[in-house]
Amino acid sequence: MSMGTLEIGFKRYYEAQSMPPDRVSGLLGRRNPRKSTILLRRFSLAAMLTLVATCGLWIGGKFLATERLAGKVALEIALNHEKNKEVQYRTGNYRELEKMLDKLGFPLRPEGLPGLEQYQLAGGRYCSVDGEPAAQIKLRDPQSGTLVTLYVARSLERFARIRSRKMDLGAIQVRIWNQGGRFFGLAGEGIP
Amino acid sequence: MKEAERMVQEGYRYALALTHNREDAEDLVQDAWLKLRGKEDSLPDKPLLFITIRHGFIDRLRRDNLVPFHSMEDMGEKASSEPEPEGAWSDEQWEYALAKLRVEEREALFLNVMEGFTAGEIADKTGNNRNAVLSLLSRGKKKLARWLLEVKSPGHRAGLG
Repeated sequence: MSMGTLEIGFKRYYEAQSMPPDRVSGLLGRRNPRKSTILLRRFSLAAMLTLVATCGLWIGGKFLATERLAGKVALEIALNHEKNKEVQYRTGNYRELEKMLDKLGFPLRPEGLPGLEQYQLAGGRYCSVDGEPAAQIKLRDPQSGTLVTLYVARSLERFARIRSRKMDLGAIQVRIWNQGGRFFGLAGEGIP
Repeated sequence: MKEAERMVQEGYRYALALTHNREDAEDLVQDAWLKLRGKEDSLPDKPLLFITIRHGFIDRLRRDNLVPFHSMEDMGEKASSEPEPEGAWSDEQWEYALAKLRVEEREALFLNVMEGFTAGEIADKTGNNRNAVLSLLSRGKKKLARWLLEVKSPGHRAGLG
């Protein structure tokens, strides 16, 4: 086979590949105000500044760094929820999901948030939170049927310092908390 | 907007060469684009987009503790002596053959064939040395030729997955 023929075929194959139009539009349209990245960032900054102003108890580098991290993590969680990625593993059983995501090495069942135990597990996938390996889990609200996204990571020192709170980032609410040696982030509409 | 769309699609094709998985490629491009557009108001330049996509791909491999699989075909290829098949190959057949390549081989071929980079330029971009890139290109092409011939052989049924 001549190398010219191979290269022509290779080029033809890749030139025919394209990202779906709706995904491209969504990507390029993220500068629009409705649920845009910029809007979410502004809300996160406002939420963070409000927290700093209303708490305002002590000015310390560590406190501000933790608040910045909380805002950054909440924004990352909200953005990832918006991407609405397909689950990698479909299951309604946490033990089964832990086996499928066995590289994480920690339990995935959420703790410490009353009301969340009613939500039904739909599945999960690997992801990261602030660069740390995490599980991204889809839960279904039994009342409305809508999906919310739960992130579970190890409660590393920098996460453990984050105080539990709920934030409104545009149309999405985000709750972050630590419990049982794990860091949790919940994103969606109408979350507990 | 046209320029942005064109750049997104070019980034997607590069991401597809790395991942050989459409959904993963879409995710890589999206992450890279959001990262770059968040920092600057202007359109990101293509080399930077490609670098960001590549870094995102490597980060995912590390995070998922994935080790690129080196198939047994890597252990000494022999020159194909089968007759040249005629006609074109379907996308499915190309996907089958491309899946047989190592990530590094697919990437080197993509940068050479699609982007027109020389082996030296590819070496700079990927942190390899020039001779290693030449080897990747040569082996990648031989493998593609071999698997495309295989997929055309009677009784073979190519499919995704």
